Amino acid sequence: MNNFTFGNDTYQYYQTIAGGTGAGPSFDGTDAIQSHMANSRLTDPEVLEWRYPVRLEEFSIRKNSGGTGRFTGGNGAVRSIRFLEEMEAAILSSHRSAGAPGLKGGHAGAAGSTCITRLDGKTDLLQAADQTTVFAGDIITIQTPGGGGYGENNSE
Amino acid sequence: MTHAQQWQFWIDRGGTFTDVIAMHPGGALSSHKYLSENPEQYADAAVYAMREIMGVPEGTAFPSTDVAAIKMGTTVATNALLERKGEPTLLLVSKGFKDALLIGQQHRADLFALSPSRPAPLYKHVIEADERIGARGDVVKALNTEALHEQLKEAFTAGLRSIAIAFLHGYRHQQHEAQAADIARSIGFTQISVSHKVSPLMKLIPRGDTTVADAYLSPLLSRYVGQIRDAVGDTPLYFMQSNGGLTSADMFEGKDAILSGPAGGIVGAAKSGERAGVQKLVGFDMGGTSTDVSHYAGQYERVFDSVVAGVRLAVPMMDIHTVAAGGGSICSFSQGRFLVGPASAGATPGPASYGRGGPITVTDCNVLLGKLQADLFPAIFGLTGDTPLDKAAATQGFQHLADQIETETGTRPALEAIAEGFLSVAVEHMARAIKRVSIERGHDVKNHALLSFGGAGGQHACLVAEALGIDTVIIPPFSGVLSALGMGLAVQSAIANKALETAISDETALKSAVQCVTLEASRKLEKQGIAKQAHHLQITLQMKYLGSDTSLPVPLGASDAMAAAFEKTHHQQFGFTDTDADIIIHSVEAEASGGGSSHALEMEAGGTTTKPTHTREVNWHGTSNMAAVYQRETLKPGHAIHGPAIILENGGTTIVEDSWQAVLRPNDTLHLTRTGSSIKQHQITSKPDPILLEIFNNLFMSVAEEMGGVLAKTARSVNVKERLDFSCAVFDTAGNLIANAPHMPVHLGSMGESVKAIIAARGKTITAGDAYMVNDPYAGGTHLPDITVITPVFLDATSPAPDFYVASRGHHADVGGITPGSMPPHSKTIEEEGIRFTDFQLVVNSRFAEEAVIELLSAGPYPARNISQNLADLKAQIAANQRGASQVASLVENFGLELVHSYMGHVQDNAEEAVRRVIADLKDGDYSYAMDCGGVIQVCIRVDRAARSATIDFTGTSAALNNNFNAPLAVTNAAVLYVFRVLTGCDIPLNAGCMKPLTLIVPHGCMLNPAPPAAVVAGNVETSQAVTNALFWQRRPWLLPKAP
Repeated sequence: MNNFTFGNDTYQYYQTIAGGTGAGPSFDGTDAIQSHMANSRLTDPEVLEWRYPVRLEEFSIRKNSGGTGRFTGGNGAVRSIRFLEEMEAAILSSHRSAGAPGLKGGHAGAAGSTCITRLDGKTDLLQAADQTTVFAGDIITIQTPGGGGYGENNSE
Repeated sequence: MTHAQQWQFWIDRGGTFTDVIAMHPGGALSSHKYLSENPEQYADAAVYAMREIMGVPEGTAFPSTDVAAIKMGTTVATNALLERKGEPTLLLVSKGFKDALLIGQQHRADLFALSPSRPAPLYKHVIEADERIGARGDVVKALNTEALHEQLKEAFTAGLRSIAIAFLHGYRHQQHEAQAADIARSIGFTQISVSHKVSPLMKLIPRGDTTVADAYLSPLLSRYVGQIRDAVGDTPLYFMQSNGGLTSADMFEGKDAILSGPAGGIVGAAKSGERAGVQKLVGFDMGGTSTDVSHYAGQYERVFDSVVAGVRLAVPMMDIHTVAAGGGSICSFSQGRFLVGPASAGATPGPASYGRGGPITVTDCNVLLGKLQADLFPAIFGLTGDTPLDKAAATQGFQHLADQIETETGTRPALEAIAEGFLSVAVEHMARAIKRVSIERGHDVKNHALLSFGGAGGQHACLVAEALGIDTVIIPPFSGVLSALGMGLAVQSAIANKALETAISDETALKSAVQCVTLEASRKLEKQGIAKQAHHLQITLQMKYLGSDTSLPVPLGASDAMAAAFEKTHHQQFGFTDTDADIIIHSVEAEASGGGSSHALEMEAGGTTTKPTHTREVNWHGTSNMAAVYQRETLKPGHAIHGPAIILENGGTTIVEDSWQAVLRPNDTLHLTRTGSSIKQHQITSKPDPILLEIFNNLFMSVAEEMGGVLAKTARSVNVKERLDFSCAVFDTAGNLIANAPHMPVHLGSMGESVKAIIAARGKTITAGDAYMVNDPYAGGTHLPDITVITPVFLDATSPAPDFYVASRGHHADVGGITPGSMPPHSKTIEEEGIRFTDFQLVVNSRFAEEAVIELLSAGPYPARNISQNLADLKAQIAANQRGASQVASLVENFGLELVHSYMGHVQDNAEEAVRRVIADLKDGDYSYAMDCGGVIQVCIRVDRAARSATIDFTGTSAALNNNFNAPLAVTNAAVLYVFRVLTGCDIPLNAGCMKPLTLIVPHGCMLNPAPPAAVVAGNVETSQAVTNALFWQRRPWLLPKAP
């Protein structure tokens, strides 16, 4: 589900970032949409930046992250947040070591990742469940997993 | 020539019909109906109608000096939006946000869709501009104008001419948007919609959508307006906007056109209601495919954030709620249930009785019962469009349904019983939807009148009113063309607004904003030709508490008075005020209006007859009665007509049910009042009556939904109020789930375990006036922030045990634990996740145990951080439960305890049967799913096809983990129930019956059934998802869903 929290003594924020859904016997997966047990909504980027000392650098569909097959899995999302103050950030997530498997010969979707880029350009990968201190200028980029593909792709 | 010697035309151009009211020279009104599309006869229905009414032949000049004004509403924009047939549009957005409008809030509309879908975007192509402005106006990256010029040039060369520009924070910091618009203009784009002009309000997603919609629809709209303009010369021409005000044709914009037609209906309903002397009304506009519901109590109710055809619109619009049920809703029998809609027979083929091979619909029920009489109805049906209603075709359709019911249930009901059954279900559906939207908007409809209009309104108004507890129905004059009437009665208006987000004390900012919007609104109205001195100005502020998203309208005044007015409204709407939170002015709006229609509605009833024109056989409650039929136009005012009776008029039929009385007042308004109850007495049977089954399914759901409405209204936290992280439910005396209104799949079915935990712990000591709360994941809870409040319902103070239970579960922002928000990533024990309670008595003898709650939440090493917010949300949960308890009590009053109890059993049996049917198609399967957290979920499904049951066995799953990815048993249950609900592929009621065919084996101590003190907070969010995945990913295709 990509549960991402950040905050300090003054601010606390919690968001769930969607991945792609799986393909099925007659349909492609859907890009960047809440699946199964999750369906909470996301704060508007302008409200987010108005209330919290962060800047959303990117929120887009993660191209080619859905598993291939006769039907393609949905693509995950890319969400990049720059912090403007020192804070604690934490991620609770899954499908970091392996992507969502495909079915009936379909390929797995791409695994997700959580990456921190420090102000000096150094990058670090966070674990599936992890916590870190961020400083002004640091960017955390979350790439959410894609959905699995369904069926063999005859053109492959 | 003076106005009194000229014509006026008030026109509602709908999808199927164009309604016209003509005001003749001298002031007399006449109404007319034309087909909107009739290419053999005319190019445009409105122009053709006006010429025909005035007797001006085609080919001669339009007599514009004879016409004082044309006032029109049109669905041209709405249809283009629905059919995605607008102008190819380019979206220009800030860098990094090219997919932002598509992803939106990333939620799915259908909770149980295996393949969730989202509406197609309106824009054809998207370009990111290399620019960025921060929330406080800091230019992070100046707009790269050269690059933009190249990008736009390329799109222009590719053929795009319409552009929508929406940059982050552009509503307030407008310089980049303005620069981009200049570049687009220099390149030659012909339609340029800029977000800070279209909707200058915070929130990129709705503002961006609105801007795209404006660019997408405006070119089309101006072509349509141009056509009319060409045809009518320089006759003053006005169009109705979504906000209920008219605008001159040249200023009519796409963003304001979406509700152009229905807004006229609200104006018509409001003015007609005032004329009828009604203070509060529910507008009930029932058509062929849908029903529009609105409220009016002296002021138009507007919203600023609506969704139409999947497009978010952040412009002021009349608050209209559309229910997908109308005369054309299809009636079917499936899996033991009488279903009505949501599919509609549409205009073609239409209902069976239209004689074009259509299915059985609500209209056909009325035809079969005799409520609609073929020979008293216009002959406009059949393949040639000139034959009467075909009762034989309807009868044949009902015979097929009777055959099907007989095959499936072994009994063959009378055709009339089937028709009456579907009507009751349709009425209950509509009543449920009206109740829900009314409560969400803070109205108790019981003290309202139902103002009925639209083609099918009068046929069902008494029944719907009765289901809502409403005693008065109003059928105004021109009820068949009320939207057209509204066009004529509306005033011209111009609205301007501006985002502020400042404290109420910042008078300088407020003053300058007020000045700015006032000037803009006045300027727009002046441009429509209304002199400044004739302007009526109204300044309204949207105010809210800091940190909340729910703003309320307050008229401009001194800051003390505004704060007081805000708090008063807030208390009225939500039941509390927040003395600690700052009050913020979210935005300012100015509305300038004027130039209204000066003619009062002077219709008078002129009839003299007290005798029926016909007598017809009509079936009511299984017996045939002779019903008197009257013609409204000839009725004598003041004469009381007792139901059952039928009143016919041009364009409508009103059914006076048997416990109702109708009187036509001298002002030509038909008043219907209830004189008794027409609710049928029902017999208790061991086998459920499929009609009552469906009605009870609806009624039980309605109780749960009403509870949810009260909770969302009165809760204080953002979690409940805005993220809708809550669920409400009704239970039988043993704690079995009867009906559940879920917003969160993870709450599915698990609340029953919490109720049973209370029953087990508190046993016989539970008395009337008690309420309990529980959040223990080891007692049916999901994770600690989810607190469930449980209220026992005693129908009689002497009952030995509760007759029912009602419960509401809400996600509290904080319940203590090692991190704020009670979602710690690294908790190792449940104690680190917050305060845990299993059977805490929250209300004792009807008194809220506030001190005890404070003591509970302040205890331990990690106490709760914002207890006043917990208290506020708990009070809201208690209020929601009270509403549920009183609704259940009124069900019992209407139907009797024994019947309600027996249907509580029947609805569970019906849901159980629905799940068994799915199981019969499944195959065995197994799967092993490794999670990143180190756990492995092992699941094996064994299907017993003969018994139509399944065992879901999690033996082999990892033992409880030393982190917080353990899922309490309630979460595992919810995940399984969710998967089976998805597999049924239809809207089955979710209750305890669903779980009966399923046997879960979850070994004690494994990560899906851990023992205290294992930590569980991620189980609710991560592991629950993994369980559904493991179930869907069986190696064998056990779940292949059938095509819908």
